[in-house]
Amino acid sequence: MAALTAILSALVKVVRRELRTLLSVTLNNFFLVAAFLSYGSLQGGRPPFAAAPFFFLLALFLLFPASGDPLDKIPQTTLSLWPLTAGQRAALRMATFILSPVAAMGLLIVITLRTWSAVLLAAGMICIRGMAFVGLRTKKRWPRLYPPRLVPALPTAFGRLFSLNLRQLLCLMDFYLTVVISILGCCYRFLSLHPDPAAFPILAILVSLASSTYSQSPFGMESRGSLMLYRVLPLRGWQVLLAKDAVYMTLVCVLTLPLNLAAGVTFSLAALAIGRYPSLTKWTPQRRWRFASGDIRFGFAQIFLASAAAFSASQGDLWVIGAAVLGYVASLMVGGWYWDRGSF
Amino acid sequence: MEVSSTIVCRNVSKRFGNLVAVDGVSLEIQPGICAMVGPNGAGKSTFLNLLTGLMAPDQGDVRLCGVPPADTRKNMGMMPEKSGLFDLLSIREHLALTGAVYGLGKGETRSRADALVRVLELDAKQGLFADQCSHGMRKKTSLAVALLHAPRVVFLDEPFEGIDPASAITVQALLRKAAAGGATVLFTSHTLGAVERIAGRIIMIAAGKIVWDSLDQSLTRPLEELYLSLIVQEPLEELAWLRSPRS
Repeated sequence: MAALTAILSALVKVVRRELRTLLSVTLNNFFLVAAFLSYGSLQGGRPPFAAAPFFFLLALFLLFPASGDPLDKIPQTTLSLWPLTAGQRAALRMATFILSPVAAMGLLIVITLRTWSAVLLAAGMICIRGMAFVGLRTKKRWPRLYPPRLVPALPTAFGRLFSLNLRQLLCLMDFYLTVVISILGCCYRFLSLHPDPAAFPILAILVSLASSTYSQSPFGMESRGSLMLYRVLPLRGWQVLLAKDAVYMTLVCVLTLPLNLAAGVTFSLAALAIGRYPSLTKWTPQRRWRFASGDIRFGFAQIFLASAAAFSASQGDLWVIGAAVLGYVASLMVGGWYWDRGSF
Repeated sequence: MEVSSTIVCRNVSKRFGNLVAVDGVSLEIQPGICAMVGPNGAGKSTFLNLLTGLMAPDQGDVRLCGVPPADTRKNMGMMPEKSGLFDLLSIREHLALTGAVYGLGKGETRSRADALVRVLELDAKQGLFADQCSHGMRKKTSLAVALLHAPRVVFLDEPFEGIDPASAITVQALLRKAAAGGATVLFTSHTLGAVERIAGRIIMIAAGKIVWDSLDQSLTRPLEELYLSLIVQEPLEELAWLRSPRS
């Protein structure tokens, strides 16, 4: 019994610490927008309904990393070597089910609310847990289906770096949030009876914004070792940065094409230019399958300045697009020079 | 008086598809320190996994202290190749957990953990999570976890890999102490100097087979020389381009 209690208490610690890593979302631009909308509503004496869809989307995505099996946190070798009886192993299996944050949350919702809608919500959460489970098993059984491995290695040195950076972006939740928002926007545009054209630029801005935090920490998915590797590559700083930027730019261009390309491109250029400083002065490690986190000051600067520029560009202000291009090129050159001198 | 063997395996084989990782190995190991050496991919880690019960053999039988490995887990300590640590538990928490799992009292666990972290020079960093530790620190933590409950049989996969020379001497001393207390220590290593220094018995393995055992043939020349004579090395390719670096 003492052994089981010790294992469970260690697992509680591990799960709690793992859940804490989900808080990276609070420094994500999409969350900041939601928080700002809530604040605005509350200041105006209204309930924060406007922010609800944002929070709902974020919560939905966070359920995936939160729904992992706690038993998987025990290294397989260690679990096999522990001197536990078959009964103890079965008890551990049962207890860890309750330790799963999603299962515990679902149970809590059903017990507290005792309504059919609560049961449905809990069922939805269990479905997400099931999907996460299937995803994990698929990764183990067919490693080729692991999303980053689906990206082919492109020719040329720049292409190879692009592929590498795209694989890294595919390991962040931001990518999937961006895709989902783009799909929702496309559904609105092409499936609704009377879509309002004024909404397209706003949707394009939302799409661009969803993965804009990446532009503040494009080296966050690198290890210390791979950062060193960049240093010995015979590439100029601006080339390294361009390979990082190109991934975000390409993603935004593809996903905002059906909505408003001008808004998407302008937003991404401005966001990259604003994010350049924190991206080169502070190495913020990012965890896989979490939302990227950045610097709150630069996050708000990206939200307001890049959105304003994107909105103006969508209204036909070509000079704004030109200014965004110039700003981006200047940031690339200065950033490249800074990189060559040895940032971080 | 004959000392009974703690590890006994008879005609053990393990295949992975077409690859024969362990090929009909039979051996008995008595208490003391035994080292297993061989090139990468020779089957050393697979053999350790078979002995600990982490893998089931396709053929043959393994006994630890007279029973199958699964029935004697309490008497076994293992330092796996990939350290087997929780990323988000600290060094200290790993030791506390191990003590409880192996049935040690809290006070006993604390005093043993104190001693181990002190000896392995982990005391200043025992609050670090495993994923914040260097490779060497993870290795040392894994070793401390394997030794904490003073097991009768200790399996160590590459205990000297990635640790500094001073720490390597400490690890050797720890293994000697464990063996002096009657434990059987079986470890794999590529550090032939350390192997020669501490192992009472050396087994050389290549392509899943035992090619030399110091129990059968005594060591008459330096181990490295013997190793290189027994382990077939492919002749180095020409690689002419390596001799003409680009300007």
